[in-house]
Amino acid sequence: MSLIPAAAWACPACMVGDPKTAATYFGMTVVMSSLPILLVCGIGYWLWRRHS
Amino acid sequence: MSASAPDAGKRLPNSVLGMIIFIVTEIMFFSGLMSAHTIARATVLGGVWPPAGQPRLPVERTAFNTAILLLSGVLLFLASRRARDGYDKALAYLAGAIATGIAFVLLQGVEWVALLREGLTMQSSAHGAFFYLIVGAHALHAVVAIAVLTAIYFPMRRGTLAPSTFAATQLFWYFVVLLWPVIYLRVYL
Repeated sequence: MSLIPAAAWACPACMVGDPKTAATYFGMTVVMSSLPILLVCGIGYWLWRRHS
Repeated sequence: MSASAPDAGKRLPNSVLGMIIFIVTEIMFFSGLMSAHTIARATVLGGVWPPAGQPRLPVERTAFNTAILLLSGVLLFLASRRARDGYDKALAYLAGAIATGIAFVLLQGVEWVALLREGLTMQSSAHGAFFYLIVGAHALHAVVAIAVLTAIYFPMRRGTLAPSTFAATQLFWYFVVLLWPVIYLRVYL
């Protein structure tokens, strides 16, 4: 749904306005969705490396 | 039963792990603010940011202030290196980190007073609201971190500071220091 939001209509707010606005919404959605996963996985990997 | 496990030295102190988890939540908090700010900038009417009629932010002065805060982070890093040879050798660097941190907050305060006089308030525009919210949230973190750095100065001078407490405090200050350039690039430029 992240890759084809227009087809999935996963983010109605992203589809309004000009392409720059839509791109900003999309970019921020990707950042805010991926950041927690990256942080948790990064710390988990660091702890694993530290103890292995 | 043995008092310490063989890998006890590799174990992460609870205070450091707790600080890491806290910093993760703080990263998400500031990411939310920056995300909202980015969207507000992109969707502003006319595509001009800051909006017409609003004061411009002091980019050059804040760049100098950014350098002061980065220097503070470097001084704390040097303090941690010197602390390996004894806390007494790290005291001057820690004091320098605290002093430059206080200088950063004071200069930010001077900047805020000037901007308020120019008419930039929380209610004047989305530009003002985001500026005071994001920069203010960072300033609040800086003040708390400086208070904690000051609080550890005295046990460090007595030689009673726990290394894990020093490590956790360092992490918090590094977070405050490294977050600022990101805020500067997004909010001021």
